[in-house]
Amino acid sequence: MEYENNNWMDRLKHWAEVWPDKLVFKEAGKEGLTYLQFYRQVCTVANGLLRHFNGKMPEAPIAVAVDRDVQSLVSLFGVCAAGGWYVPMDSALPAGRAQLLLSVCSPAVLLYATEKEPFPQSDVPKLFIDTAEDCSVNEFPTREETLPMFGIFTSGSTGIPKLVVKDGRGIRKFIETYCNTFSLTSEEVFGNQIPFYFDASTKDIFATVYLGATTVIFPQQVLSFPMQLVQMLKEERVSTFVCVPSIMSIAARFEVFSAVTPDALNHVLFVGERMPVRHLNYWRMALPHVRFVNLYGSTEVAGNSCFYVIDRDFGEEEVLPIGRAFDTAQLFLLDESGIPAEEGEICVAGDGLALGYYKDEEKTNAAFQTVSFDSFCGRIYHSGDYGRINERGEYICIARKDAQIKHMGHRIELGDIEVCASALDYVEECCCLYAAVAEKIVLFCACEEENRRRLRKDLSGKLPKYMLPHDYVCFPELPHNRNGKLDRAGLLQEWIKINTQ
Amino acid sequence: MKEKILEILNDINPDIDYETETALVDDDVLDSFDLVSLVSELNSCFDINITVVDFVPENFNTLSALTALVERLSNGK
Repeated sequence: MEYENNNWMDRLKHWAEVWPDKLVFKEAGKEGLTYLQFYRQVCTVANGLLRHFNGKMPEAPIAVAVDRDVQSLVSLFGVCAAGGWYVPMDSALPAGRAQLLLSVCSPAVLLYATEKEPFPQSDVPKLFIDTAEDCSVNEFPTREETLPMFGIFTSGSTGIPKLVVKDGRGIRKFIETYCNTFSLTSEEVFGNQIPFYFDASTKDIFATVYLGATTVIFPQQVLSFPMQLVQMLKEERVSTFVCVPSIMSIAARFEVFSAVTPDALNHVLFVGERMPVRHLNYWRMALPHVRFVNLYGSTEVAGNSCFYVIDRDFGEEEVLPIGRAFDTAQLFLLDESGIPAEEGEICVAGDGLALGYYKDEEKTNAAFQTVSFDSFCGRIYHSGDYGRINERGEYICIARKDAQIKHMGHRIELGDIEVCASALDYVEECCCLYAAVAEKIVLFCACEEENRRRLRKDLSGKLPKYMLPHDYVCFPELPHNRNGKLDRAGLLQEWIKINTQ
Repeated sequence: MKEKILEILNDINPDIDYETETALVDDDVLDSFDLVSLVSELNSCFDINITVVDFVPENFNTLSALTALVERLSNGK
């Protein structure tokens, strides 16, 4: 059976016929939907969308308000089935941020599946489709794979989030490669921890439907409470768990496996930031039969570009390699003149490259370039990460070349925070820094000390919670160096000296 | 003891009325990063060890539940 255009709907239909009673998606501790139930609900949503748009999906995306539930996935697949493309948005976003994202993607409609209407302040047209209504329609238009399939927002250094647009072909090819690389089967039970508005959740969602497997959606709280996490991994018989390293670190700090062993687990893949070896070693020791994989990627590339299966012991001071490229990606380390070298900026080519940033030709052209050197001619993505190759031929990611940081697995541009803070009328100047030793985002502001307490409150109306600084420092004036530039290094050093004694 | 806990909480996020808040965790008032900071502060400040068994939402949703937890662990030493 060939699955190409509209392949996800073909797949779903296939499994709904073969395994109508098998669970496809469920929330931990709840009942969930079988393939047949899920397929029918997706048909209902697709039909509702097509009716709304008089039989033809618009060119603009469909924004979808998502939570950590099965209905959100019904909506996402419904948009695909109708022949449109979706942009998932966290339904818990503060109004200001939601408004900003909606203005960047200017959706044809905002689709939601909850009782409560999301983003009440926004005047974007909204659509609720009741999946309890049954739908007899199951023939839907096909969509060219080279067209956008979905878009994912990512923090932008200028304060305007960027919408990364991905095509269906890149996603399909990556999911095939991903499942083959780790020999995943229809027996798989994926434990989903990563929110659906983040790129890394794509693997859980689409590998499930590709394989005819099952995904269990974990509540947000498991991120904080390691005991709940391992209990759910055990009770739901999760076999494959994709997660951010911080969740593994928290579990390790609490030595969580002294209480529970998740015996069905056989794959743990971590992605999004650097995994501390000390914490990985705890997991490896406690769960010796599990295969641990370090994944590396960017939202701008479908799935991930690199993987490293942990196959040897590492000391606590060592950095885990990111290994080698998936079959869907090709990696280059380019030096300052853009020539392949042993060390340089990690650049990615291959089937997985995103189409670009939505309606932003300038940023697209800066990050995605067509290049040619001896062995290669084609389009590459500049990741902004620096890497090198070790003596074993494995790629290692060394550092960022800009102000982008990773905190609790979230990709954050410090500039995005600075723009929001500068917009406050009582802030003269500001500077946002990341104190890696303390894992804290610190905002320095030139403003009256009495305004310090307003900062967090005012920013929380503009930024998602994961982007809020942890500490706020106010000065009458920020220090500048001789060239008139903000003395960022000096500020950070001073903060670390005072706060980490 | 309650005052000291309140002080630690205010250091983490001063904009919350901890005396009346009843769903610090369930309403996502404290995120996972806040919680980990909170646990390590409580451990060092009261010389206790909050283990994984006690690190559950029920013990962290309200100031009084937190106080009860710290009291129990301090007395059990």
